[in-house]
Amino acid sequence: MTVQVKDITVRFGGVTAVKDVSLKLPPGKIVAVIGPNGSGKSTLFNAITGMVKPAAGTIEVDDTRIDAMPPYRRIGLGLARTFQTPRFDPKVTVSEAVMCGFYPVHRTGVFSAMLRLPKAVAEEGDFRERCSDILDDLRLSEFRSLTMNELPMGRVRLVEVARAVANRPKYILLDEPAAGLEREEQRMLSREIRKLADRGVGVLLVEHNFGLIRELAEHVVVLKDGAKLLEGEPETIAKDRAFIDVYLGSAGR
Amino acid sequence: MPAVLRSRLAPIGLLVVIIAAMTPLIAGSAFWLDNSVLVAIFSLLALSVGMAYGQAGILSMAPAAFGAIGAFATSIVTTRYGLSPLVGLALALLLPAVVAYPMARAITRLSPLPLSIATLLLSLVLELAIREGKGLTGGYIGISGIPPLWFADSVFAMHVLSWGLVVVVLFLYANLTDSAVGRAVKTARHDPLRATADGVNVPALLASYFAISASVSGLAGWLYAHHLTYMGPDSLTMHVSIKVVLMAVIGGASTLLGPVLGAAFLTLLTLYLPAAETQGMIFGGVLIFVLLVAPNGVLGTDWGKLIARRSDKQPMAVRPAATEGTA
Amino acid sequence: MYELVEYLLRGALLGITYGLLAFPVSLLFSTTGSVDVALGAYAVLAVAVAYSIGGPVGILAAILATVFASFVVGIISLRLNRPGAVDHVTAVLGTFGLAMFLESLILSVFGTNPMIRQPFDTFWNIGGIRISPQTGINAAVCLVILTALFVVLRKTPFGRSMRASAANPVGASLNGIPVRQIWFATYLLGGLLAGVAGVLILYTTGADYSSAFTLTIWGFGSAIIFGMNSPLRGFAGGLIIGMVQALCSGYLPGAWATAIPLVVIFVVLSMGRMNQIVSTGGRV
Repeated sequence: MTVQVKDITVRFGGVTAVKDVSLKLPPGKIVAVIGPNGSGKSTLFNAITGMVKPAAGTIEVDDTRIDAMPPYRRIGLGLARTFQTPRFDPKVTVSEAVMCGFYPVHRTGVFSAMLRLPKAVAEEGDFRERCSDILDDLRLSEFRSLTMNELPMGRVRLVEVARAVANRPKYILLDEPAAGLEREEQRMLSREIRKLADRGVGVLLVEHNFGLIRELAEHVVVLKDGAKLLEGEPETIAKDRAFIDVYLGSAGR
Repeated sequence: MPAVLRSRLAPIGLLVVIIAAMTPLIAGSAFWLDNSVLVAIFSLLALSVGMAYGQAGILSMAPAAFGAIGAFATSIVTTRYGLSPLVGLALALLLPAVVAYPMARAITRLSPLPLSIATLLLSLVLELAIREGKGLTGGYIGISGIPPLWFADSVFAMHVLSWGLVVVVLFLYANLTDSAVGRAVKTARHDPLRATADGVNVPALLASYFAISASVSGLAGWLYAHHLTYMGPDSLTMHVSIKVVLMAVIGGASTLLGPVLGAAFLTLLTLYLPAAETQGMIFGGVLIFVLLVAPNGVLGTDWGKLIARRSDKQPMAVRPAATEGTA
Repeated sequence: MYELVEYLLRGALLGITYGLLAFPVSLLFSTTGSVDVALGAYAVLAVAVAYSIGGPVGILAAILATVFASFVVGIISLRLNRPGAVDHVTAVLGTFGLAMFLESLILSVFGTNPMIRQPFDTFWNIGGIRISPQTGINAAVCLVILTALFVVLRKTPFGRSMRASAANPVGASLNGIPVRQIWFATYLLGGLLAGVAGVLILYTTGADYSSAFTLTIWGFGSAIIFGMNSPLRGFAGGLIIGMVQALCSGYLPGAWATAIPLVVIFVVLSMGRMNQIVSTGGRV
């Protein structure tokens, strides 16, 4: 019962973006992926969710091979993701955006939706309720009827997270969720991530902020030039010479 | 504002009121009843464009072509095989969807642009097929003597029936828009990758939605055939398609009532326009004008905001989406 | 066999004008990501103007008229699109509007008669196949334009900016490249090329007011058959479409001859040639 990534290699033309990377994401754990820009973090994410095709390697979710599945079926299996650059329709309201996240769990067909059969009414009501719960949890309730382009970027990222957790995923992949967030928002986000993990959701986190990783992650994978440099507990990693050279060194800290 | 007015069904209620108020005024005039039926038929075609273009972002140049499929289907089964118009109705709903789905499936992998070219191809091929299918479609002569509907055999009954169908379609459309599927379609229109990450099978969803919109066109074609009792190669051509797209765009393709408003406006305008050959100039000109002034159509534009912006004489603010997207 | 060769040759010669229409399609698509459906209408406009005025003045007026028409489309597209916030489908809709306008204008001013001029009554005899010297002129004009286009795109700053704004409009505009002006210029260039194509069509196969959309489709089909990103491929595509058409009209009955090339284009479309280019655009 884990997400198992084994020896994934992704090539773009002649460039190898990810090379023989393996990682394990058990339910209820928070695993962080860290590395300088261009080290293949996002590509790894895209490979897991199916937005790029790996040249080699296997990906399993709960013992089901998913590496040949189209992305939407992987999402249906209980994966969810956010994007590094939030992608959203600027004219959509916050609550509508979160409502979109329920798509994988909707069960009413096109015809019962058109006819508004009682089943469809019940489901729609259920989604609205869950949506307002999620917005409450992330302190977004007061913004619910604002459109996305009226929100500050930090909140937009939170809406992204809200949208991803809407379908109650088993595993969630967060691509730099804390970038551009104020301290207070960051703290709230990290509480939410912790809560997700406590509920048994496996969280895969791409993050630049090592403080946040230290606080949250049980396991850290360091990527460099597409390959795994080292992995281990955050405290061990933080003391590792190679890590400090590659990561903190290049970050100029 | 009371909740009733904000409900998704409010515009439909408004339409029902307007039609109910209009009916006694035009009930005595065959001319106006006839035009009212035409407006309803064109409303259905324009609603089909509203669904495909306004919601799913697929610019279809084939609403009239799908309508022609429905119209010829019912004409053929009623005149050649003597079957009930209801059989024709089933075919008129089914066949356009059967043509539209695989076509969209083959083409909408990512971009709706190629699909709009494909609908143009479909229109051209279909027009050829109608002219050549002599035994079936009557070729250049067409099919005349299509029986009127036995349950709506007066113009007045047709007026009631066709507007009733418009209201039914609007009801279904409004419900669909406000559902998981409707939201997914809107997301897919804006950003297919985002929709994929929501767990949407984008090509299949857009193709199904396009097929449903084609069925609405087919329904319009069914009404058209039984109303005019004649169907020929020049009845529902690509020029009708462009006119219908224009109707949807003028009124506001992404709104519920926009296509209906556009259909009413253009049908009335056509009554007072000069010769047929100059009509294209007027329609084309109006389309360009609307796109320049209010690309979202009359009902889709926030006029207050637009006028305020004009009078401020301020350069258009760059949307945050554009700037932040590059950061 | 001999017949087949004749069809292929005639088809290729016919395809030259399609290749010329394919230039603006692929140029516009690779630069702005949009499609101008009115291209065929520009060409018919050029046919009509050159036909009614006649001579070199007519040719000049024809090309001016098409450039003016594409100017209108350029304005519409500028109004609707900005780098980072583009709505191609609406812009395409605008070009439909213009196509409709032009078709109706041509119909009301010039009538329904087919417009054609064939100034040569002598024929070249190539291996027993009679060919009008006009096709020689067509090929020459096309080669000159192809070369000029190649030089402009590859060797001038304008061409470089054009390619940059095609690859990444937002990035290009941040680097000071006037992306919107480049887009506008591309529309004008499209009008110019369609005008030239129209003049050649007048002297080759002729056209009438209703040819606009079919011509757009031929140009479009030529452009996608080998991939949209190069005018040279578009030219080759034009030859192929011409040959398919010639073969169909040689061996198939009436309407099939018109329908099959359309179906061929549909098949090419469904192979996803156009999508491949779109999908390389944004980074995931």
